[in-house]
Amino acid sequence: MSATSDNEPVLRVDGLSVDFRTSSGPVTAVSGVSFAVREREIVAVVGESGSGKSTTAMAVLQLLAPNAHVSGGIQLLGRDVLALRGEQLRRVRGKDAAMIFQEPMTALNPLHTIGAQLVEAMRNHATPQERRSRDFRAEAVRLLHRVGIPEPERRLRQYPHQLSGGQRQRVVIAVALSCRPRLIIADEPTTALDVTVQAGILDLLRDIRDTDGTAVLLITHNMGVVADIADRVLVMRHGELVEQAGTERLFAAPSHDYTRALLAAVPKLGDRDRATDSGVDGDTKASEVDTGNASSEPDTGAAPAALELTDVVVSYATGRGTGLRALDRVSLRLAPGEMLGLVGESGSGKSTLGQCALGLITPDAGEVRVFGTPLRRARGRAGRALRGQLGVVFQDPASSLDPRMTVAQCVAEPLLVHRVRDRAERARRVAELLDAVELGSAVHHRFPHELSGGQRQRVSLARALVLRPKLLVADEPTSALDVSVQATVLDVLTRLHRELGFACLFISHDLAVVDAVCDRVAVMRAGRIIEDGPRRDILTNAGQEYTRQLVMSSPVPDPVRQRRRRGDRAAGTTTGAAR
Amino acid sequence: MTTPPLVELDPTSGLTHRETPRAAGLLRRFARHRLALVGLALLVGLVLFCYLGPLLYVTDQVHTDLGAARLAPGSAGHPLGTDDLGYDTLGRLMVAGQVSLLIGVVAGLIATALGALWGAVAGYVGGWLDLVLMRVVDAGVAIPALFLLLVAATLVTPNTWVLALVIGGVSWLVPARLMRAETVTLRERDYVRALRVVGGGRARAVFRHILPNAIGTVVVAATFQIADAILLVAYVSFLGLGLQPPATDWGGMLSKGITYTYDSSWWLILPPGIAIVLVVCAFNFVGDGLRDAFEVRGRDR
Repeated sequence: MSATSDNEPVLRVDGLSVDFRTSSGPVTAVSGVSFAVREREIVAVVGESGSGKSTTAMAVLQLLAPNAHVSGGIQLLGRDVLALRGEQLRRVRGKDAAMIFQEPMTALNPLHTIGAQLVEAMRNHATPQERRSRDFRAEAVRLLHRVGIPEPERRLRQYPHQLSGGQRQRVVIAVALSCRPRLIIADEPTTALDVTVQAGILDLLRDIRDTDGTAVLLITHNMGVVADIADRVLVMRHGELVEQAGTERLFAAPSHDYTRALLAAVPKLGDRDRATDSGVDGDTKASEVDTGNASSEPDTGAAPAALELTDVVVSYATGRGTGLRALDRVSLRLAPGEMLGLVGESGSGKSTLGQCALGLITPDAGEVRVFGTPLRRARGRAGRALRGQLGVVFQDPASSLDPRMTVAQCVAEPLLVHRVRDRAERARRVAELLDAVELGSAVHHRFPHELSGGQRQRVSLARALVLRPKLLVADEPTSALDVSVQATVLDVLTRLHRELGFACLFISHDLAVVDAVCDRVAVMRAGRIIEDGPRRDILTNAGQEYTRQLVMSSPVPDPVRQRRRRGDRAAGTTTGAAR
Repeated sequence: MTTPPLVELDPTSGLTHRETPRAAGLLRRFARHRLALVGLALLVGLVLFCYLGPLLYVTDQVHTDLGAARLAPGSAGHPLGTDDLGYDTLGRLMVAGQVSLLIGVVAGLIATALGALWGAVAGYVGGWLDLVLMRVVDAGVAIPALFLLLVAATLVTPNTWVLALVIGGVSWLVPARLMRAETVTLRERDYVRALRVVGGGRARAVFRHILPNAIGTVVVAATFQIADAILLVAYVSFLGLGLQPPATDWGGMLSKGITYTYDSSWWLILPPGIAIVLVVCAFNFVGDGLRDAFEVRGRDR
């Protein structure tokens, strides 16, 4: 490994601009971006959707669509990438710089074994002589071992679907490493993964940097990931580089307004207790939180629970007849007015539980009661009345609203279902609710595709609350949104929860978000609720090893704190590392 | 949460793609499809020919005139000649076209409407009802439509409306399958689930959400169904089980003309044959154009 001198960066980008030629004229995606990545350096590019961060990364390897016009200079190991064509370009891709994408399932070919794909990657960049003499298989085993996959010999013969998401991403990294690239470009490498798995992948990337000196250009929207791994940060917005600084300096003293706002919008685990003390908006918050707590006192006996699940079992039939238990004898009680956060990793059954509570899934065993009435038996007029007590907000802003209805029609629909016949009355309530979610009268006659994701989620919230329900199920309501937009939606949700006093089952994989909005937290794992208690207890002093692992693994957007946490995690268990 | 207010991205700014208003965008994308425009022009031309033509070019299509039978094209007053009963071929082509187009459109619409509703109910309700409804469709597909049509033609005396009903009644199966597939995916959309949560009924879900959102599929299916129906009418009439004289359609004209093929009376076969080919192609082109216009929704760059 020849050492590059300090003044010769692995990647140098000068005044990079990218325009896309579209039928409606050119659209500028990136304009005038300059930066450098040195050896042994991890540089993170952060920004919200549409900021041009992925376009920048793709431009480095000329992977953009043919209608993209790239100008400026891109020097990779001293060579001008933009001047390369055909075979020369192919040699640079993979050998000098390798790419890791977000979705490991689509990055691997499902029809070939892991081994075949690793060998192919190496053969592609080998000379004809090497192809005869090299033992690619032995190298593949070494690579898999390198990326922390146990039993590499056996794994080589397996297909992508036989591996977990985290292992697949490790294989993708192994493919990327196969030609010993000097630069790894990782585009949201951990976004599709659970936090415990994410922690392992980030550790691996750090380890590769430390031992091989590989430079890493990391594209991410997650400030926690940045704080965890990056040496230097580039902040992008609307295609422009607004700030670049060392990680610790950026987090400690961001110089640009946008960076400050972005950092402030990120919910931080454990920050709520500090915020209430510091007095910002604290006077209203503190008092409201008190009343919130008062209503969430377990008032068993008096009023029936807003939601009560007793020994609920849901199993999905799988190919071989043995049912997969999505929910395994789950019991949960939600008091009126309470905000309960339900957390867990993908596949833990949290969404299934939410759907049971809404009656979208009928459990195989056990009972779901909403305000004391079994949901299963609620039919006809009584059933409709009971369902008027329910509201829901789903995750995906793209499919939560009917594309052929105006915003006002979407929000009015539950009123029509519940026979509110007076047109003026309907219009009044729609306007009231849209006003409550801070959307002006201008949006009433817009169609969903004319709104941004955050606006659509607020319309969903308005629709969910238009009947004044007493129970709201919010299933990852902000997971598909940018942080700044997430902050707005969460603010609206918590304010309405205070004002209207509905009970809320808040499902999320993001502990920091749950920490910011919920009073009580329940943790799910493999179809069971393994822990349930007040927010502060669960998130700071969990009884279960798994919960502690979960809390430890979710990165905090604060490099100093994150380094300490990483140390703690390493000192503790390492069981989650290879999952 | 204590956060400074952050301006949400304006949906119209930057790279966020914004669709043009629905109808205008649809038309624009349709217009980009050359063949579809050709098809549309053809259709307009054929309709004008069949419905306005007889007003400008008056012929007697009721009384036979054996004295002027099988005149060659170009004979005085008969630019396309006459048939074996002395009917003017050009005039007859117009009158027959009215019938073919009418039966085709009505049958195609009946088939699409019936099929769409059938498929939507099967797909949305699911369970055993889905099973029963779709097995009925499977059984129907297994029996050739032409065979059903012939049986029906032997039972009732065919007139225009009976033919339209019968053809519609045997060709709704394919749209039903299409619609069921579409419904199964639409049913799991969050806005439909949100409706179920608040206690919205099946009728509302199907009529307010599923059918409007499947409109693209439905419209495209309809154009293809119309083309198929016109062909079916032609088959049936060609086999002599169509309309009774003096009424006729393009298939019927073909059927009669075929008798005189060996007397080189090409003008009895080619005009109705070409008309059938043109109208079927035209509807298919329009269908293709509409399908593309609906499908690229939101990503026409």
